[in-house]
Amino acid sequence: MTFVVVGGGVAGVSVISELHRQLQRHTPSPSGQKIILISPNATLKMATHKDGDANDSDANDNSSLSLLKEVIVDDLTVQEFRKLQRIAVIGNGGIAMEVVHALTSRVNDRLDVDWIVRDKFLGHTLLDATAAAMILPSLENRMRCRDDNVPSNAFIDSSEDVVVSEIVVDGVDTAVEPASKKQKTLEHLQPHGSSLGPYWFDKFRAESRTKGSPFTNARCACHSCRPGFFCMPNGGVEEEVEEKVGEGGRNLKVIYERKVMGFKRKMDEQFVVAGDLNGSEREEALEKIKIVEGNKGKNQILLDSGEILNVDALIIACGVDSNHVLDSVLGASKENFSRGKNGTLKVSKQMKCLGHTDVFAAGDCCDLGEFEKENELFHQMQLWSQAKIEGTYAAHCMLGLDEELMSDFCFEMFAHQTTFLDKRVALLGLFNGQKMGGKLNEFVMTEEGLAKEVSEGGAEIKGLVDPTCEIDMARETPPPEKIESIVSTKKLSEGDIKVLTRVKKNKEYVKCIVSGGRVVGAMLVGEAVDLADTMEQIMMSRINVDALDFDLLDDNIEIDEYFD
Amino acid sequence: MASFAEATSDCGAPSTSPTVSTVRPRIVRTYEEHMKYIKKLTPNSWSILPGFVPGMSVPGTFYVNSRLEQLMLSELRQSCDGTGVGGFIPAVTQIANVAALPGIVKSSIAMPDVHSGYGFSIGNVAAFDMNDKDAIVSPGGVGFDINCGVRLLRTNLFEGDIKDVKEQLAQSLFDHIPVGVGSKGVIPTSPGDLDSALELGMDWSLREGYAWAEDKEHVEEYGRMLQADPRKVSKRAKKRGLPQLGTLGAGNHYCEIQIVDEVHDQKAANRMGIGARGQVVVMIHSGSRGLGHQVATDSLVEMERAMARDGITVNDRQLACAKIHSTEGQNYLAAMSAAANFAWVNRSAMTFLARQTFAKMFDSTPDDLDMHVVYDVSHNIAKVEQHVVDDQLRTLLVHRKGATRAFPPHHPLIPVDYQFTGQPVLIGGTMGTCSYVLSGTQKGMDTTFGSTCHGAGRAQSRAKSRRQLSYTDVLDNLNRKGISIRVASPKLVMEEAPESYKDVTEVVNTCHDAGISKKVVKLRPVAVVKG
Repeated sequence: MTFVVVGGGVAGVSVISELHRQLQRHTPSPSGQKIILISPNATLKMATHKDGDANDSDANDNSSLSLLKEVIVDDLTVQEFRKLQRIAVIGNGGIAMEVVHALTSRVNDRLDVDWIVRDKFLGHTLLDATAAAMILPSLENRMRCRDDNVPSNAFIDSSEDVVVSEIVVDGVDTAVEPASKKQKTLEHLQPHGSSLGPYWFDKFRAESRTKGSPFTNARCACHSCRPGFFCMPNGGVEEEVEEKVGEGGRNLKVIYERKVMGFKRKMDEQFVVAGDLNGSEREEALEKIKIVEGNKGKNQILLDSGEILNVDALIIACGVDSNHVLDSVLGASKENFSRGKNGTLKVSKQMKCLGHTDVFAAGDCCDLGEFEKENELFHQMQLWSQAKIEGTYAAHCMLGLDEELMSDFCFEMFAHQTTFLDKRVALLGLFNGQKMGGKLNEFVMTEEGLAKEVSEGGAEIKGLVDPTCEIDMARETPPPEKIESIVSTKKLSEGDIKVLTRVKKNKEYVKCIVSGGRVVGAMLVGEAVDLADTMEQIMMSRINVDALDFDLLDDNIEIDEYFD
Repeated sequence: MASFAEATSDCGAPSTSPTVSTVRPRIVRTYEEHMKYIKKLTPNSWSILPGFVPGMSVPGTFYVNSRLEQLMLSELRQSCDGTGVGGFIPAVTQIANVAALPGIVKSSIAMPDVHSGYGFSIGNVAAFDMNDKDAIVSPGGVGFDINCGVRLLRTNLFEGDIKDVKEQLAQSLFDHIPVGVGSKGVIPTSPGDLDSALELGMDWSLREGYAWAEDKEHVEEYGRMLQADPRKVSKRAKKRGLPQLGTLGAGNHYCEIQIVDEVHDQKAANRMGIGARGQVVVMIHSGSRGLGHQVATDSLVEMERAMARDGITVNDRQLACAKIHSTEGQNYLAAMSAAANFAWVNRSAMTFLARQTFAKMFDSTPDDLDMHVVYDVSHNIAKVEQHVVDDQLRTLLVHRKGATRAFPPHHPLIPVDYQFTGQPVLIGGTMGTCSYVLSGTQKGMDTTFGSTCHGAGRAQSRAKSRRQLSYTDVLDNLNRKGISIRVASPKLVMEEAPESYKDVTEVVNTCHDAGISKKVVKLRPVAVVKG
């Protein structure tokens, strides 16, 4: 049998690794089995331990496939960057946070970053207002103190040549197709992935060296916001960047609740409309760009407020673009596929594209609505952690092993653990009230209320823990500076839903959503991530915690011990 | 109190609510009235007399020194002064509630590291008479993390040998442990393997080449519970366990590289091969994780139903239990044993990993590095044992939850190597603090069913009334918005649980002074690997 995998992202690589592993294990004579990976990029991506160099999926497996692994987001340090003084970042997801994180720690001494987000707080999809309020100060601190420990050549140049490897292991052919061959066979597939990947900066570097604007890139011709694209509107002509020496200092400005309406390059007279706007927004934008007059000789961004920002460069880090890529991959046969949200491919519980028996989908391109319906605590998010389990599970389905391996269980509950801006974060289940419909709004508002109070009160709740302090125990209020943590609970008026939170300023933030007495979602930031495993077990076991009320998050009680 | 365990069957259907009559109403008394039932027996032990809570057929006993006793009693006081309405029941009350369970023998006993847990407090030992047809088994008396336990490996290396490579060693171990929550999607073995592991325990590890034959000798039950029946483990439990087979687990589980820091009993330490100060050892602390959690939860649901049928009445709904010889009781014991086997397989996998890592690092073999299992203890388990009670030899089902078996010298169930020293007892401190090796004593055999502490960090005290604070403007403001607030000040922690109390040393010394176990060796961590 021959398996063809299109896409060298985390899902694609997970599919081939797992196919390879299972074929070796289950097929008595795997000769004649062939796995072909078609990737538009030279770099294949694989999720690994960030701290180590071993891959947790095949740590004991010496197959050549493990050579292909890459850490998802890499360091960046690039000479070109040193010339820039004002950069705008658009987007509010995990990638945008990573980009800003990198900018604030590893580049120029003199740098202004304007971060344009559509929402009221940072990390809208992954965090909530309180968590964002907690993470922002650490970001601002970073801007002030430069991290000199980062090696300036932490970035590895990727070769122009595509890595080609064809290996035969126990009769299983595993081939990674070279790009040239790929272009011959799938000419309509642009060399364009929708996420940044580890070498995103190199991509920019290569483009900026070629004459002409990166905007002329096929995917970016309309100046529209394509996720993950680094655009340098001066066309990479470095000399044109004004150099201001001696003006030290770095600033970060977050511009909330603003959309980008249009862009203008130095050499242009007119703004062009941003590409990711919906119908009415687009019309509004068209009106706006007629009125405003661009300043020739400056790269500019027009916001929906009418404000115009002058920038040296712009990094677009918003969203995932499955629709365009899929259209080009599927070509004429696209009519035969059932499409879900944002043009993704609807799949069955066996990861088969609906209506097809031999076409599977996994990763950002698929719609897991079937699993969302079935599993209360699961919801799809386009994250590397999900891409990995989807890819692995799809491989099991392709081999018909899914039932035997019971591996659909990985969709039982949403779980994601990562680091944003140096803060550890664990997200479990319906951590922001996903799938809870109308109740969600009230809920998010509560969050914002709490965030505001906490950050306002934060001025008073400074200094937090002083273990040597003496407080009169006669039932008196500790002075605010002695307050160590705040545990709160908010009962939503609609339904039997409670939101429990615990905040220790600068240290941790815990939020638990309790519905019908059961924990259905949890967000843990900072030190609290240590509780993630216990929380996961409580949620999986569907234990009723109603009676515990406050105590569930009381940090004088160690719930991991209680439920041991 | 509302039901804690519900809706856990494979289909996710909610359980039928048990009738109210299965739970006795709570007695409301003042602290002073309560204290009439609590008597100090010796400098290190207290007794809770029948009548403290309804239905007690035996007294309760807890081992504390003068400082730990303040913790126990202040917790009780706070629960009595009216404002402390919440889910957590004071440990004293939990110990007494267990003394009211049908078929309990002699006493409900608590170790110095006792603290509030689900149903039974952590640190509680309770034995039930196998020949009493009404005697019960309770999943709450075992805990969710079935066969959570500690294993110690010795080496012939010294601190100086690993000084420069300890971080590499830790990293190398860490690289093989999946980190963080959530499924990784990758299943290390097949469901068929899982069933074999559940049935065979360490015999499976041995068969698969992960363990040495002599390892089994130094593990309780030889690393295999014979009552284990994988068919009694629900599919959901297996699904939760499958991706975790052979892994360390997360939460409070860890693997530590430690150094022999103090030797208190040279003879016993020599016998265990850890008699030299500065010697390097490896401690593995892990359990059955999601699989055990699901087995416990499944049984709680099943037993809640059976209680109404069998007319079992308890003081706390979390104490769901079933007659040992009922279908539910037997099902639980078979599933619990399978989960216990799973935990041993996991500790064996970690042992294998540690041996390979050390061998690679020192360009040697695990054999040449003398990496033998010193011992492996279980501190969340129920076992059938024989004990002398009132001068009669009786067969008992001993529940140990957050307590370790500590059999004395010459006991037939301990390995021949330790016949003269008594059973080694491994006490893991809270991660990063010191750990201990103790040995079992005859006094422990006579008084605590051969049990001692388990030593994980004590949960801090609960000071409910004093934390219900809503005074500052900020907090009032939140209150007005319908958000209730409670503030914990560091002082509360300081007064009732100073650092030293949480320290395992205090707990171990209390057991030593009470004579229920003897200190052998103190260990100091130099590198921690956490799941």
